[in-house]
Amino acid sequence: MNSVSDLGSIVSRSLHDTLALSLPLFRPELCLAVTVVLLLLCRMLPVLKMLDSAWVALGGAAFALFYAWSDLRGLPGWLGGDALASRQEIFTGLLVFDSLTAYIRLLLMAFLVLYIPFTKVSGIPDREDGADFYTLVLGATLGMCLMASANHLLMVFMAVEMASVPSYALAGLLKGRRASSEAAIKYAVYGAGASGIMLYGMSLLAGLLGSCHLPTMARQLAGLAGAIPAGNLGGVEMVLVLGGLMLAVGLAFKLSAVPFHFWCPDVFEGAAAEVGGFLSVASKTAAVALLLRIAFGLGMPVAVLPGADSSSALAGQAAALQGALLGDARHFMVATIGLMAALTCTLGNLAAYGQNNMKRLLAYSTIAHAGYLLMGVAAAVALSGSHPASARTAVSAVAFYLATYLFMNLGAFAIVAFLRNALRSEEIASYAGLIRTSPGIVVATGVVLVSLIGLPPLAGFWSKFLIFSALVEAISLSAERPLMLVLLVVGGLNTVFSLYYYLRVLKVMTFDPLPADRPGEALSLVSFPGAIVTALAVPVVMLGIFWSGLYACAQLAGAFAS
Amino acid sequence: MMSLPMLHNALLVGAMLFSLGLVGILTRRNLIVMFLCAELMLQGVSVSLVAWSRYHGDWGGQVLVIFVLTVAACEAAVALVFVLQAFARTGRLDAAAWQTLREATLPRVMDSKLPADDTLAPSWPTLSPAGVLPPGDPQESLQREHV
Amino acid sequence: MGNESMISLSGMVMAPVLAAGLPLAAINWHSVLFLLFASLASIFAVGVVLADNVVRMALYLVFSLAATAGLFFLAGAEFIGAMQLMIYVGGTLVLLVFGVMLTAQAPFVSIKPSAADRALAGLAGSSLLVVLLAAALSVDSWQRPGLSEVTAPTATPLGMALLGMRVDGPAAGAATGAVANGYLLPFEIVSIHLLVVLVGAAYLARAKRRRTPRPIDAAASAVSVVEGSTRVELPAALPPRSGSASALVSGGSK
Repeated sequence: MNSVSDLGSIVSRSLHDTLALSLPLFRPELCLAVTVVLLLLCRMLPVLKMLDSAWVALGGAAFALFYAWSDLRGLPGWLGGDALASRQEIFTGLLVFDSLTAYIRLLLMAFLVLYIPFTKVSGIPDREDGADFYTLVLGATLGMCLMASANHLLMVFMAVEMASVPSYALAGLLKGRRASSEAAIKYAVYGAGASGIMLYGMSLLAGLLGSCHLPTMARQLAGLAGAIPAGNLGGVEMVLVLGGLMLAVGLAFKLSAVPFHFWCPDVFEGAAAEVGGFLSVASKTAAVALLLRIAFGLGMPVAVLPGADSSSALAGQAAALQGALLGDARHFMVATIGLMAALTCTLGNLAAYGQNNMKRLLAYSTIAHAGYLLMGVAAAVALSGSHPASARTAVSAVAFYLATYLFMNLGAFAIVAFLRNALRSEEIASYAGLIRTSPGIVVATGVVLVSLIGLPPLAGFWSKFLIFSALVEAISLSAERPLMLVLLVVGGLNTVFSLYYYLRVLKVMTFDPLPADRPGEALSLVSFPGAIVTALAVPVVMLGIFWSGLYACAQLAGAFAS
Repeated sequence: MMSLPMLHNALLVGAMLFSLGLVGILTRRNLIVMFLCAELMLQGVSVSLVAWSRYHGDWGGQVLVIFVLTVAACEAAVALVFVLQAFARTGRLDAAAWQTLREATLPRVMDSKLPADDTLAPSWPTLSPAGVLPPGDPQESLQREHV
Repeated sequence: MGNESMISLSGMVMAPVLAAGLPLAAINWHSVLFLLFASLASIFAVGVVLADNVVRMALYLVFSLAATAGLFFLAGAEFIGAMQLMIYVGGTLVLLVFGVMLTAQAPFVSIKPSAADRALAGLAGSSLLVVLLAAALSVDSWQRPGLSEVTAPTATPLGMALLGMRVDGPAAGAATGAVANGYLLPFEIVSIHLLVVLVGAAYLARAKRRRTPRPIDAAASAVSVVEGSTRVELPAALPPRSGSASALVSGGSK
């Protein structure tokens, strides 16, 4: 026990760390937290009851976007400079602020700023439910921001739960509908099981390595790996593999990666399309960021040790030595992620073939895209040991993919939601002959779906191209050549497979005859829904042509991998 | 006093509780029981975390247990709402009653146990009527076919 | 501190045994109590998984969790043990038991899995258990006693850690440069999480005020008519109402 005089210095150090170092880098999350409280207060005060909660939420999200943007701009290497790895641990090492944190946070906030007007126009949370809906959305997004910046297993667990539990409630948003209740129950049951398994894996890893702090764990892991030649490990590998696999179960569940994808189609079909868009875009973005965090956190020791900055060259050497020792750990991670990527991509695309419900089709499309993203992550981890510069490029490819995916997939779900309001149906067959009544929407659908396939002039092409070029680089440079070759072939074949089912939707919309008794009215682009769809589809085209600006940001995000 | 290898035994107990909970989630069909088994899994984790905390002489494990308890309470609250909603809707707690959302090509999991209690005549609780019928649509009141 | 709680606990057990005149000094009370609590926790956990009756199952879970709290006390984590008893056994489980009571008004529902299911589950569960136990047994160094005896009450350093200040140094054997993580952030952020979950649960549990169906509901009802062939989806025919009294009771009993 320390004496009382020490307590003063501990308190002042803690205050300094929290107020001066950590909170200024935590402003977007603070904005979200304040908005959650404001949404509650607005319901209590009679004057503020007149205010629509969507505008309160949008204001909070806009502030958060502004701060996230200024955080990204403040990074070293912004616009033209050499992107340096800048890494700062905040809140006594529980979170880490670096370029990946800033980039993912910016994506999530941009998503919110687009998503709130979309839900306001589509009308799924009506005026009465709006405050609850936006509280849940903002709370879940707060958890997702923490997922992107977690540096400690406690924060990993907390962040995953903070993102998941509000999502269960969101899945059950349509209280009167049986399908919605079923989606919520399935999501909650599977989610409870997956989080339990993940937690057990964490307890094994943390117990064996004696810490929950990811960089410390990496150092301990390197120490263990250094002891392998001495041969006194005594079964440690088995515990490590078991712990790693159980942790991977939880992450795969969040990513909807095969074999833990089974919840995804049911939940997307049962929940409202708006909620599907949230789960598909925001949740996926955060889960990929968390996977990168854990894979790089455990596979690559950080160069600058805390408290050893005076001799950073020495520390860098030590980190390089430890990095060499962690080769086996990286090999294990690459094999797991790569295998999962190949399975996820193939199964997602094949299962999408027979679907009649548009939301279910998009759920399988989400699964397939998780597969492509996992391929990029696998390539990045495979390259990280030997070729840090190429690993950066691979991470940049993943980051770029996430940004384009935001527009493409949110656009697709927005179209489903607006067509549901117009046609009272979410079946693909009900879209027949839509080109005669609402040609603008069909063009927007075409843009979004063709971009999801990854065909040339659109943004989706560049993201797939970057992922595949990262795989090619991994084939030529890394030691994981066979697996990367398999991934490249699987990815290419799947892109061809996916042509059919995306184009089938367009075929129904354009060539099938218009049914005589179509309910509902036409959907014009010159309306609020049309404006939202345009706002989501135009960036898909623009990013296909002017992609270099976004790629510069993505390269900045990739700088964390060095 | 500490002659027993504490960590080792606690890990064994933790593994046992955890796998029992997982088996329960996978096999039981009653929705409430599934969530009770999820709590059991978390207990297994907590036991091993406390043992690790003792072994390493670090409080981190215990702090993690505190947050596990908190989050489990959150999950239980949300899960209970779902279970009550499900019961109000179908009048049963059987997970097999929730199969509307599935692949169109896959059949329902047919279950021989299901029809038996469906054909039972409902037994409503009886009380002597007291006072006047409260206002409101009589059709609105919850009408269950079976309990 | 683990020793103190242990002594007080063993004192309770000692009284009847003293009368029997056994050589008490020869017995390792810590081991005996550990075995007792561990076997109680495991046996009642088996009961949870196997029991058919929901109420019994909830009761078994209460016993199992209470025995786990005993394990926490033995491991020197009194604060966690007390939290376990107060929050988990006293709060969370009572919540779930409320759920049991609200949903089971008739003779308690027992939903039995089929024998094949049970056999499969037993196989899967035992293989999982074997893997986990093998993992726990595989590392030799785990079989010796822990590095450090706990010497101080745990509540103070835990509370300080939750406020972001670590008053306990890192363990003697830990690597240099280890970071002492304070837990102020999760302690604060979990309050936002609790608020959000509370709002969500209140939203889901609240009845919708509106009467006119939204467009989405109309679409949904169209869908469910298509699926009306599934038997559970739409009950065949509601029983005729026996009169206003039963309507009053069944409406009022909710």
